[in-house]
Amino acid sequence: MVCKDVVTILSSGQKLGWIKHIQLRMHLLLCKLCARYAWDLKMLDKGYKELLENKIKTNEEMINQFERNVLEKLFNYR
Amino acid sequence: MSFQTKVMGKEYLHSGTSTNNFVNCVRMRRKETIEILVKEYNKQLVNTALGLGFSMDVAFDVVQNTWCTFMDIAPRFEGRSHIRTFLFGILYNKAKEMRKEQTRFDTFDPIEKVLEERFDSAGNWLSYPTNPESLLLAMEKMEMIEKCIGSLPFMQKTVFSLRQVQNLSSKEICDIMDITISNLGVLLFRAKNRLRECIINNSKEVEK
Repeated sequence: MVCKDVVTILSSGQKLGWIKHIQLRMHLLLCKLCARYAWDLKMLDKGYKELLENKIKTNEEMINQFERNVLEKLFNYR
Repeated sequence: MSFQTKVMGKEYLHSGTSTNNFVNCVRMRRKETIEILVKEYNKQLVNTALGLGFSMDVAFDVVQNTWCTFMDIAPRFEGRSHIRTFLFGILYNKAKEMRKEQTRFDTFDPIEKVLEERFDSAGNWLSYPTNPESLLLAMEKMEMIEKCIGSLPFMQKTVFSLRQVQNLSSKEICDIMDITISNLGVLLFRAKNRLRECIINNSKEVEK
């Protein structure tokens, strides 16, 4: 398994059989650059989730009110 | 809300299996069932709409339209897919309409050429574009992440949001977006690498 394959597997979210899974794990243990790439992707996910969570937290009351409005509208649906 | 509906509703929502009673309640637009669904999924829908780059006000509009459309077509829900797939499918179509987006799957994306140049002919890294600390610093700037997410094409933004934030399965995402598993893999590949390159390029600005 070469670095280019690892990048494709990690970013496309491919499902792997157990042999390929072990090969991937071994490669990540041995290759610092691919390990760093995997870490980059993990940080991307984390950063993006935090961004959205912050938005939701900051606007929690507004979102709760919106939910009440939605329910009211749907209960009056004809 | 009756105890039976409450328990049954929650069981259905969390087990992912279809129960005829619950499907019938959805189709009949029973008040208690609608309330369970709104309380369970409204925030997730708003979260996804925000993840697609809409402002809070527009996200509310998109989600409101989603629920209204859901009420219109609830009688057609057959329970073959999870109700979550049904709802997110409506949201996706509403978001597409709002953005007047074309959802043609492109055979080529420029990120593929950029990434190709990072490897030698044997498939090994030629060099690594940045160090971890500057990437972290760049990512602390929320505006930068937002800008980079905003620059993604609509379909890539959608798969990234549904997969990485909402943790939907590949099958669900394919059903929602009417794409193949292979398309999904390619879209995720492009989305993640575009995002990474965008943040790396911006981190170089931060370093300066």
